[in-house]
Amino acid sequence: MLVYLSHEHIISPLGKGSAVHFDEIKSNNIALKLIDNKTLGKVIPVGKLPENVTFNLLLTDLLSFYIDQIGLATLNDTKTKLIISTTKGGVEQFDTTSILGNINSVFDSLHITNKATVISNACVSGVMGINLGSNLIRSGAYNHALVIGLDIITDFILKGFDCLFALSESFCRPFDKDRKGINLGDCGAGVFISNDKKIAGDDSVLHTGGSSANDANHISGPSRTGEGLYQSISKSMKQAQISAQEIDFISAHGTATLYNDEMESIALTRHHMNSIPLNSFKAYFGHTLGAAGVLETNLSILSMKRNQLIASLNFETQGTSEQINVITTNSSQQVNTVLKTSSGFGGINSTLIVSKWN
Amino acid sequence: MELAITTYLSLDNSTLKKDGEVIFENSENETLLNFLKTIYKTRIGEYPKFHKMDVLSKVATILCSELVEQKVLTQNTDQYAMIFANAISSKTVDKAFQASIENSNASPSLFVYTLPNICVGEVTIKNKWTGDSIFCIQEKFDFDFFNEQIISMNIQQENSHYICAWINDDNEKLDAFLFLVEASSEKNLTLPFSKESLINIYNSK
Repeated sequence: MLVYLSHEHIISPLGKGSAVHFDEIKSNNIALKLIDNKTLGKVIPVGKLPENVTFNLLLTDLLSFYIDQIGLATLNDTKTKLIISTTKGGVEQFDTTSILGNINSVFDSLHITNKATVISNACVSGVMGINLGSNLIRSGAYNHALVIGLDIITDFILKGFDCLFALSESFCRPFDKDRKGINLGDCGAGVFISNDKKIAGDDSVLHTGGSSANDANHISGPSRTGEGLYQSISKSMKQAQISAQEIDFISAHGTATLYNDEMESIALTRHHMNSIPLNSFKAYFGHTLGAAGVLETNLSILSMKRNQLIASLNFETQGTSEQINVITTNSSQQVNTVLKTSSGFGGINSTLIVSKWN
Repeated sequence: MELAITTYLSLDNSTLKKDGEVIFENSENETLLNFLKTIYKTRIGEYPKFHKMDVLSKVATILCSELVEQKVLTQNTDQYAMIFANAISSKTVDKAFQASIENSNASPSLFVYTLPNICVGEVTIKNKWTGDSIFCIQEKFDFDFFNEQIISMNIQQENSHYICAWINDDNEKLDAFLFLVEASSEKNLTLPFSKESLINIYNSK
């Protein structure tokens, strides 16, 4: 059975719509701005949506797009799976609000009757959501799935990463030798998954494989050998029935922490993927947590549709022990198959493969 | 492929049960945290990391270790898929981390546990389980949820066992239930993986 990805949507400080975003980052426009954060007591780059945009408003905006594009009847069909990927789910009052409370109130207000499966799996939540939706369609259990990834960066989250010494006070530099940590950003992104080519449309692409694997090594640091990422890529390639030579582009996780980027270079080297063009979109948006996997898969799909590769912004000098082919300038070339990777706290790694069907 | 529930464990503030039979009791009427510590000291070997864990991780560790100690599961494998869920995410730790921020003493060791999937990570680290896993937030313990996750993870038919767990720790009132799903064989036909049997054992815990 073929599983189609379509109707990519993105909302970030750069605007609304996936094509808009591709054009903006192609022109080197970024969602990150230097912000004087009172809680941290310092100026750092953050990708902030306007202050009045709450988690609930962002989710409402994303779902309204799909109600408009796909129709409420299809979203409420018992054979449609709704998946929300988020890390903190907009919870700000820990005594009185909850992730499910926030999501249910938005669903009620939009007359969405299907219940969502809510994935809270750190930074791999987005990729995991797309894999879950795709596999449920592949199994025949569902005909369609809508995956929404979103997170709003609160002081709670900023303070958390700050106390881990993970935040960079300058614009982040994935894979560069001078990388000093992550930036964080608000984002919501969605993708529709279907077994119906007519609904997916002529410019849809295929989800051909996806999987997750655990490092079983450390809760907040990646494996030194990249074991979990290596295993996840192996399983995804096996499901997609492709070899490394067939991958035209890798959308890496590339958070710009010392250890994450190093780990990725090791896992990719173990797969002999050193020469495959690779980028991280993190320097454009920051790390958008639960949204990241959906956002970056969507931008990868745009790369396929346009046959254009986007540079890994702020990368100048190779900063990993293994040599990898980080893209330094935007270029036009045939992009038929993409590997998207992600890794998160807990030691979990999720990857997926998308390919053109025509 | 027919699936069967081959064993199950439950843990609340007063008892640890396996397959419905009490195997450890909170006879001293200890607080939840002290009860978990007593179970750890009595039933799991030396594992100092246990003490720094949040409640979700402690409970996940206790339940999975019990199955390893009883040789139902083995360590060092990529054949197990883990499907964990609850309703309240990491609320207990979220509140503690928020308080640490307000006291100008943000705690990195608390922040890490504000991601609920860390409890799965802790279990994989202790047992060297490198397979698939997922953590979801669901309104209630629900057969359809676990069934769908198994369907999704079974696409490539590479998992020997599905370790399914519901761990909800709401205001120190613990509701934890772990069940193991495997392909059915003549030996384990007694409890099919069905809505009826799952809800039955969950309600009778």
